[in-house]
Amino acid sequence: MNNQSDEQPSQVEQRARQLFDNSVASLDARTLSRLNRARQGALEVARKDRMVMPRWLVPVGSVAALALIVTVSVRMIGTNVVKPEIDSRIEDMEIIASNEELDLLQDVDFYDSLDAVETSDGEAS
Amino acid sequence: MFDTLAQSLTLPIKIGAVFAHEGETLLDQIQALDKFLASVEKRAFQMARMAVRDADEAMDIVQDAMIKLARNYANRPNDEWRPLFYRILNNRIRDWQRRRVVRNKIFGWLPGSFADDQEERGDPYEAVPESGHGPSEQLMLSDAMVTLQAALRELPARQQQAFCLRNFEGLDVAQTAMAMSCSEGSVKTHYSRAVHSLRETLGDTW
Repeated sequence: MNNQSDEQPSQVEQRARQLFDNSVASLDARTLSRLNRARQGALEVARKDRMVMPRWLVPVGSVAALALIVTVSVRMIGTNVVKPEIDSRIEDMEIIASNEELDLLQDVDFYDSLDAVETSDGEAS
Repeated sequence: MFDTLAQSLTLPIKIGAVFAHEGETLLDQIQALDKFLASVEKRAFQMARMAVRDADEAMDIVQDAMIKLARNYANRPNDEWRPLFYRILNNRIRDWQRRRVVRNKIFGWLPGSFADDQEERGDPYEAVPESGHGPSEQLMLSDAMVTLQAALRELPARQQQAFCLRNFEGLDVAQTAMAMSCSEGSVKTHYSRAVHSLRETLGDTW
């Protein structure tokens, strides 16, 4: 009865325990059956409650799905890009951005006439 | 591309593995709970029946306690179930007794109402179950049980609880304290006073 007490149970305690044990052992079949049904009902409740999606799954699942989408999207975008086009566009941008090159393009008539003069001088000599 | 898909598929597989583990844990937990409830249900019912003196009400109280334990405390360590279950059971019994007091106060003045407590209780021997003992021995045990129940009813509620939990249910001081939501010192005091009162009421020769 008392695992922690050093005292021996008194006669009253022993008798009371004996009577209670006797009454428990003598429960009728109908009561035992009802208790069994009550227990099964409680276990069914526990089973249903546990079968519901765990609380932690909603945020974890959302984050996992988002990570999946981002990963797949980044990988797919990465494979579709054509690098040479990007390189040529960058080169064009560099030419356009360079003022020196544009000046040369504007003076192209001068260089043409200079070239013609040098050519005629060469023929004359 | 295939690498990406393969890597992406590992996540659902991992989640599936977690679910499979949860399923096994759930099954183990339900089986452990079934075993525990089967071990306490008879004593719990008898204790509730002694307190409310009505088999149907006692059955409802025990079932409520079982459901609450299964719903709210199934995840707790198994060694905590016993004091938790009896705490729930005691609370249910106390709630029932309070409702009964209120009901009697409200409807007590009506003729033929619930106030006729003696009539409501019915035959006290109905609470004493039949057993395999001979008729004379059974009668003696029934008489002794009725006397014990009457003596227990004379005790204050906390002393009744302490005596039932410690003596009938076999809980130790720490478990009883947890079940009664009080200190271990209080349990010892309540129990000691209960035993003393019962000894005075019933006598040493009982």
